[in-house]
Amino acid sequence: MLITLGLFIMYDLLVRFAPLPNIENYDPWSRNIARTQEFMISTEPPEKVIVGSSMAAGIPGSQMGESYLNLSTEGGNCFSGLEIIKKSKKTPGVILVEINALFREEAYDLPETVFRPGLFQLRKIFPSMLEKNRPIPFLAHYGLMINDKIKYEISKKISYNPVATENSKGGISDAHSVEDKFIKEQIKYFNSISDSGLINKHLTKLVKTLNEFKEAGSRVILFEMPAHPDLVNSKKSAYIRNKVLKVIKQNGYCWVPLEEGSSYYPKDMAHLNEADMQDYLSYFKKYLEKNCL
Amino acid sequence: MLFNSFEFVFLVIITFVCFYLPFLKKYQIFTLIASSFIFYSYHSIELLALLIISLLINSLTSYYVYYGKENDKKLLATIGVLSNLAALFFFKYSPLIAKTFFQDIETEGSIGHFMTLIPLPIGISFYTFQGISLVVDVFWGRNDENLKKQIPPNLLTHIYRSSLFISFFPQLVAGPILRSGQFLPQIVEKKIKEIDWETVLKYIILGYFLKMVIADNLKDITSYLQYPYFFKFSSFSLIVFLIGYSFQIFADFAGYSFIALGIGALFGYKLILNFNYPYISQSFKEYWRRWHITLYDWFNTYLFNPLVIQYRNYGMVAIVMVTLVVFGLSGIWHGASWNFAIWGLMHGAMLVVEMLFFKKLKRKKNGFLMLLNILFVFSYVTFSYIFFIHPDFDHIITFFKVLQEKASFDHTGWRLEGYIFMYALPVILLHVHHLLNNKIKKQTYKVRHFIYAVMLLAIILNSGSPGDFIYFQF
Repeated sequence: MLITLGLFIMYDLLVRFAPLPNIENYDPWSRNIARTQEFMISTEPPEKVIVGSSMAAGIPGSQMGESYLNLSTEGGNCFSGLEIIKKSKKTPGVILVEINALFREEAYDLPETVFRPGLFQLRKIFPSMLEKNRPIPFLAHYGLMINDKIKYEISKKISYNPVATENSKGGISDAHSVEDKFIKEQIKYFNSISDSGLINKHLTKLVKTLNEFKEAGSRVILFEMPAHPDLVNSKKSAYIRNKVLKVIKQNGYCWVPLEEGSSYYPKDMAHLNEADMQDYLSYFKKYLEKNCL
Repeated sequence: MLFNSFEFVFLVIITFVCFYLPFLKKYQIFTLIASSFIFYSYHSIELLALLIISLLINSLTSYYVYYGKENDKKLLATIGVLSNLAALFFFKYSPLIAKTFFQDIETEGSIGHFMTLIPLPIGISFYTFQGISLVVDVFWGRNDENLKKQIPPNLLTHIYRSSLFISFFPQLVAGPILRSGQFLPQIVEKKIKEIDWETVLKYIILGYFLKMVIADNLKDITSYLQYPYFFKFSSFSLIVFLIGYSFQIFADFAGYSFIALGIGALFGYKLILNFNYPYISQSFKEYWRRWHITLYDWFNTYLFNPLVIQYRNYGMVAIVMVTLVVFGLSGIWHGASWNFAIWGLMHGAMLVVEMLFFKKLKRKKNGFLMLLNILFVFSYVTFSYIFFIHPDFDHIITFFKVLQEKASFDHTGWRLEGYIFMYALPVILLHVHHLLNNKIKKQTYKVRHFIYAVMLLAIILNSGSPGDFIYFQF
């Protein structure tokens, strides 16, 4: 026990005075927690917070401008982020809400995990216990980086279906028959509105939550993330969009529509790659500045 | 109640205090039963009714099998066994039966639809098996005078003791599955000075390390093996994730079992080791003596041996058929879905092949052949997990198609594959250490302590997101 305590104190002092370099967390859940903890421990809450699903999670908060934080939840929807803001008792000046995943069930785990009594308070006191300071991912990242280029070169040579490119994340290539089948299933799912009951229930809850934030002084902006045209023009997306437009009118929220005339073709139908995200952000930021902020 | 929750730690502390308080020592059994009931019913009080009914049926039938009229004993034993099987079948397999044989499962109000709604009580696969073990062991030893020590003449005392045996909370919901003869003789007054603290701490730290650091971190990556996430990755990455899953499931289940052993030892009860370094196995026969030891001991004792004896006149044919049946059933014990049956049969088939063609295979003590054997068994076990992970046959077929169509060595920038390696490494080292145990110098006390201290530090600093124990779903 004493050895553990000694090592713990040493590590905690290390991260306080020689913070670990930021490394990209390797899995969505870890990224969700790291983002939430950053919000949680900040003494001055960010002025603007983005909440949504993995579609909005790709928006780099730092590129949006000063005082933006992205609390979007990969695998979830806007409710996780809103719940986190509520539990933190911090009121951002502006809340940007992505509405794409309102058909999805809420992910209750994230707020419950982050705000676990006891651990929540300990993490505020001991930075070594934060997600971003976990030692093993750090060791793995720097341990592997040394020969990364060599390994990459080897894998390019021995691959008989070479699709790796300089920035490739691997695995994703031109659509094969199996992926075609998956894409068709996605399109079929998005062209059904059998879950309209759930969508309406979520919208009612969303309006109630957003009005509470509005009364507390936050400005509320709703937006839709772009996706593959087959999803954007699907019945489900159109249903959600039309319902949201009514809600905006009734409650006086600001709305950032999809850019007219632009289309994106993400390989998984839903998530923009880096280049497309940069393209979208230039429109998104301009629209926000002109109409909502 | 999860083992890695504050509520559980709180429950253990309170139970520990009450258990060893001098003026409460005559209520030790009651304390453990009460804690077990709280543990089991924490999220759903209705489950407790089922557990209590199970305890009463098993206690009463086993008692009267021993002390009842001779002519009634067989009937009572049959009632005891069938009650357990009926409960297991009804709660666990009704949805499977409905999906397989009924067309109208989507129609509200139909029998098929009702059957799909029957909830699965946590731990039912484990405590029904312990109940059967109690009844059958007593039946087999019904004329054994020595069994009186385990089955006291007073009915209430027997109900009390056998309730503790079946409901003892460290092993209630995920094993190890105990035989009555392994537990009942241990029910005596326990003293705090008799606690083997080194064993307690060793098992608890190792258990939580395997579960919270290894399994909970690996699960965040191996979740990409699920449909539809696996479309994004090359076959190389998917195979690495599958290997990661092998280590995850070991760490998850063995972790739980070690925690159970540690907490059992805290209260003076020695539970049975359930995992004995399974990934150093050189044959499938050896593998099933190292993996989930108590489950396979149960199947061996209560199904395999009796069936082989019953059909001994058919020689090797009987052994082959019984092996396949037992492994098919043990597969489906893991989950109410036909893919689990296939998983079990895959293992049964390899055991049959070994029995028929490699009977004289000897365990290699070292060298290249040893490594080859180990890698072969590990690879097959890992491959079979494809059927464990995907309950839907369509998804299994799609997964194989993706493996074929995306056959390449493309990787995720070595990020995810690298993390699989980092988290699998402690499990690999654990197995290698055991393999080389006789050849390397025994570590000093200080080195071992340092290793445990680092594991404890890793639990504090590097736990993954909390997740259910995989075997809770069985």
